Formats: sequence, structure tokens, C-alpha cells
Amino acid sequence: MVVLDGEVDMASAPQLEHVLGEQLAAGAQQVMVDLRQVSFMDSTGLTALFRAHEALAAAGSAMVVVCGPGPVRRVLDVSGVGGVVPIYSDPAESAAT
Amino acid sequence: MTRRFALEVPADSDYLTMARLFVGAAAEELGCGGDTADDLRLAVSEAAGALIDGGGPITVALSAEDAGAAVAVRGPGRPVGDAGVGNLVLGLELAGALLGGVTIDESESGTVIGFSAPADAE
Repeated sequence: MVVLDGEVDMASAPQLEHVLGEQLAAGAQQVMVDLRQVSFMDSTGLTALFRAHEALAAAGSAMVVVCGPGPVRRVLDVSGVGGVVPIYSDPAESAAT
Repeated sequence: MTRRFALEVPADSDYLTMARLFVGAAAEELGCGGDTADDLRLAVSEAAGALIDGGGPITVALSAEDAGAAVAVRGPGRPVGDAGVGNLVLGLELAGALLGGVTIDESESGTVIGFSAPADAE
């Protein structure tokens, strides 16, 4: 599980890409990205998530996102990320599906 | 007298947080709170981010209009470098989807990215 906090923007998105790349390199079968403590995410964060999702899928792995209600969830919904990457409100919901 | 708030920041991504804090506070002052303030924070961050490659300073200005706020993000260069076109499109599409329209005005003196936001319902 990758737990993020703070803000994800063009200054910090490279760190997110790096961390998700480490998960891929480690051979993770499923990566859960927990955004519940993230207060802001822009298009660079979305792009980092998309890229990680594509790379993991190509390796036969999967990514899910955990995100509660709020501005980050709003951005995920408006951008259509939920149509590509499963989004859950909490980790227990993810485990139940 | 038109109420107007403006902030000038260097063309550096480290200052995007400051720009977002400013926009949130100014938007509240102009009656745009809640989700609208969140949308404005995102839109301004995307616009300022798109202008960073063109150099600085970057100016963020919010002014009262009839039923909300008009926002203009100005920079001396053109929006974004070739490497970031994908993010520019995604970012401004996001802003447009949330706020209902984005304008980009390029001239010899630079670029202005503008949008409007409605005031909270009374």
C-alpha cells in the first residue's frame, strides 16, 4: 500500500511516480494507493496515476485507489479516472470486492 | 469600486502552494466558497503550472463580477513547453469541466488564462 498525504502537484508528482515505480520494480501484484490524506491533486498527479496503472497492467498487476469524499475525489471523478482505475472509499471496501 | 485581489509569484512550481492558498482566501472573500473555491484552486494551479516554462513573474488576480469572481492568470511567456502539452490539455480541460469554460489569450506581452466562478447560492 502506498499512503500519501499533503498535496500532489507538479512539484511533488515526480515523487509519486518514483514511489509507484518502486512498487512495479518490486513485483507487486496489487498496489493500493491511499489518497485519503491528500488535500489537493492536479493533472500531474492524475497523469502519474495513469502511467502507473498502465505500467502495472502491462506487467500483469493491478492498482486500486482509496479516496474519501472531497476535492481530490471530485477531481478523480471529473477526470474519469474512476472509469479506468477502481476507486474505493476505504481499504475495507476494496478488500470486500 | 471593484474588489480585486492579486498575487505575483516567481515561475517556480514551489510557489504553486502559495498561489492556491491565496486563491482559496480571495475566493472566499468574493463569496465563492466550498466546492467552487476548491475548483478555483485547481484551475489556478493548472494555469500557473502551464505558464511556468514561459518564465515569470506569474500574476494571479481575482476580481468581483456580477455573480461571482473572474480569475486571470498571467505570465510573460507562452503556455507550457512541448514536453508538457499533454498535461496542459488535461489540466485546462479539468478546469473547464469544473468551472464551465477557460479562455487563453496569447499576445506579444504574454499569456492570460482566464475563467469565472459563480458565487455561493444565498
